[in-house]
Amino acid sequence: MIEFHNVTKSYPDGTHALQNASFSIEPGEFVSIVGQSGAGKTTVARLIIAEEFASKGKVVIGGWDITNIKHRQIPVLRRQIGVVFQDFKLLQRKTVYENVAFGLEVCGTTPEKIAKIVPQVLKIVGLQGKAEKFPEQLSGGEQQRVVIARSLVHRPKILLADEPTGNLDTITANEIIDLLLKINQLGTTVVMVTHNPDIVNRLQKRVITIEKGKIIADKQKGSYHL
Amino acid sequence: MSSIIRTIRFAAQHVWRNLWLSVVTLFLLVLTTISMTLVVGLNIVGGQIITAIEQKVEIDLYFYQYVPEQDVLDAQEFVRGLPETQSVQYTSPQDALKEFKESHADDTALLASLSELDDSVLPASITIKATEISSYPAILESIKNSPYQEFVDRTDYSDNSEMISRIEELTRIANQSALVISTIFLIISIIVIFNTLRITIYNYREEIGIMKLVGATNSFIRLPFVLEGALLGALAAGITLILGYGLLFLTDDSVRAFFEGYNFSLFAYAKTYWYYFFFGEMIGAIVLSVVSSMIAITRYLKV
Ligand SMILES: Nc1ncnc2c1ncn2[C@@H]1O[C@H](COP(=O)(O)OP(=O)(O)OP(=O)(O)O)[C@@H](O)[C@H]1O
Ligand SMILES: [Mg+2]
Repeated sequence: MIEFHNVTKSYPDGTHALQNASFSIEPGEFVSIVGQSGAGKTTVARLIIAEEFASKGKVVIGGWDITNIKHRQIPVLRRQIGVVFQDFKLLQRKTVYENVAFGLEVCGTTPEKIAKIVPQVLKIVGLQGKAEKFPEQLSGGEQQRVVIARSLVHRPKILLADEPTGNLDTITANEIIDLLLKINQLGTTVVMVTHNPDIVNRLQKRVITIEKGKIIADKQKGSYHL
Repeated sequence: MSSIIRTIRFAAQHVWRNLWLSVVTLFLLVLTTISMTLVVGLNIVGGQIITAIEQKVEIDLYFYQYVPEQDVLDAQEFVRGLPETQSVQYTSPQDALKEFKESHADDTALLASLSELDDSVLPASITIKATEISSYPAILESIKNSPYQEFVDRTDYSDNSEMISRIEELTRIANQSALVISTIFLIISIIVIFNTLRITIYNYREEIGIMKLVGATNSFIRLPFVLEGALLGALAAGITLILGYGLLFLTDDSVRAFFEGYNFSLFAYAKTYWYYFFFGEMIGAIVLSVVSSMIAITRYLKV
């Protein structure tokens, strides 16, 4: 589903964020990418959604070599990947329903389809009753659920989550992880970037560890220690 | 279809959420459209005034009372034969008196005294119109050298060429100043629209970021901003048109009074040709605002 072949990413200022990284993620997997701050985790995520491009090597998503993807094809790629990013917030002026619907609206989905899909994804994330609330009326965990709901509107094959539990307390964070697991069980490949060892160790799933831009470990039932 | 409506809704939302900025931008756009309309308008007015005055230019030849009608008619034929002549009209003494009476219908005392006179009290005359304003001197010259010169008692030539060239000069100056003002407004407008769009794009950076990540196409992201420019342009053109027609309507009476006898109404002109102004202003304002928003979009909306 996701393949990195000897990928090196250098930013224009000369920072080598990723060096010769190779890994392959199969459909239906749940993979955590861990590492210290500045290790290059977000860079991996950005390469997957073609927000950044590999300086060397090859990135393949669902059999599609996106290393030199055409600008016009990027939206096609992104509609197949649900994204939960640190700086990818909710719109405060819109209700929960509108925030989720926005993801469909801007892709030209018909109002009938929107009316059908939005309640479905809100149900998956367990927010049926909160559709008309505004983000500021929700807890941090609930807000994150809305973001996840929005990332699911295109029924993506891949869910890419960068620090989905970033500002949440342990209990709430675990609830979010449970939700990601549920989505994974529904058939979506989940890639989660985190630097929280507790979460990774509880999951008992595959862990890819990055350090200073290099992949130093890739274990099937991995753990992560600082 | 639903995406077109959605795009329009987004664009309207941009204008609405930035109401103040939109109002200021609109104000400037209206000023620009007005001043550009003024350039066109001044040309029209100048042209109309000159045509009106030119139409009034004519030569009147009054004949001595003793000249027989046949000689006057021969003189008319002669003038008609001149290449510079467009038309010649004969006015008999009877017709002249009738006209005189009609134009002084209110003055009963004068009419009473006239009725006692014999009906050939006024001289016979011919009225000459030339094909071009510059041809009058040539006509006058031909008459002077003709045998009919001796019948002519008096020549009335209302020479307006001095006035016409003064009006032409004035129109030119007014036109140039309007052009300079328009250019200044044009530049200011471009800068203001550009900045309005820049601010809108900044205000919408979250939405834009989300659109990009959920896979909205570039054109879908850009279109509302282009449309925002178009919307502002269309609004500005509409406002200018309403203002312009309101002004013309209110001043119509005094403008007409000023050009008394010249059958000249700016309002009537604008009413007849409203669609020229409508489409001209619409297209002008929209092109102007779309172009400047495009500059802002390509610079600040990296998608
Ligand atoms: N746009 C950029 N331009 C230049 N350098 C960058 C850019 N983005 C990231 N970097 C650098 O690349 C390296 C990897 O960054 P990255 O964001 O991938 O780290 P990370 O593992 O996600 O860190 P964190 O856990 O703090 O989010 C860092 O040294 C960072 O400073
Ligand atoms: Mg990061």
